Amino acid sequence: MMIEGRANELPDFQVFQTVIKYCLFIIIVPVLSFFFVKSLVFDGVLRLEPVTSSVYSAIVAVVVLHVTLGMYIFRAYNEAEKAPKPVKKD
Amino acid sequence: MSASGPTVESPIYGPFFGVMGAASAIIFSALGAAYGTAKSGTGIAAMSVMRPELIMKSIIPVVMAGIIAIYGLVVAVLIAGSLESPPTYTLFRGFIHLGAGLAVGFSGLAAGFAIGIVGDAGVRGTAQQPRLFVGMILILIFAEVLGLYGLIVAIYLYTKQ
Repeated sequence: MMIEGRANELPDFQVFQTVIKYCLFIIIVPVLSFFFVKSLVFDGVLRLEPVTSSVYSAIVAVVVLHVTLGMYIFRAYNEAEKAPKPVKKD
Repeated sequence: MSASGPTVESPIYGPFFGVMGAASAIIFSALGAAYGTAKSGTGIAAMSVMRPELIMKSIIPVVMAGIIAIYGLVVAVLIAGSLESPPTYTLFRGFIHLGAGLAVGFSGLAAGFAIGIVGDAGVRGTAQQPRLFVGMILILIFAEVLGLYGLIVAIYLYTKQ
């Protein structure tokens, strides 16, 4: 299925913006959540042992990582439907 | 610190194993992630000449390869956080840390290889048959779970101290 022209594409800049946004999101949010959860929740509020709190924050970080990846896959999967309909050319 | 020098239980070379564990965790994971990124990157470059509108869908193998490196990073940070100098750092903990690092490192290497090969073939195939996308995602998830198993074993090993 070849598509003539760029009728049903998102503009380049918009695609770039979305990809950069999600890539930064996927990289930064799990790393931040590791240290945030470790220092504030597990060490601060619950006062766990260092090893236990590190392990729990690692688990939290990996879960957050997969949630963000799932969001990106969902966005990429829905991209075709969000794109404007092809313009009819005569 | 109560003990002053190295003992039989915690010799001077004990931390060597732990340091090597932290290093091998990130080195081998990054090796796998780099292979996955490069291999699926060539597929994306070949595919997007004809179908540039599929670039956003095709980036997924690259992101998944990056996640393999994050697994290694997590274990390396965990190990590096519990490294100490010899009197408190036993040789047993060094072995445990080496094992944890090697577990996540080589699992990440294997998962990165799988993601690279599947991603290369998958994005080229998706350009010709868009319904392949779901299959590509599923195979990529199964490839990435291999690295997750290594992470689980590494964290389980890490808690045995």
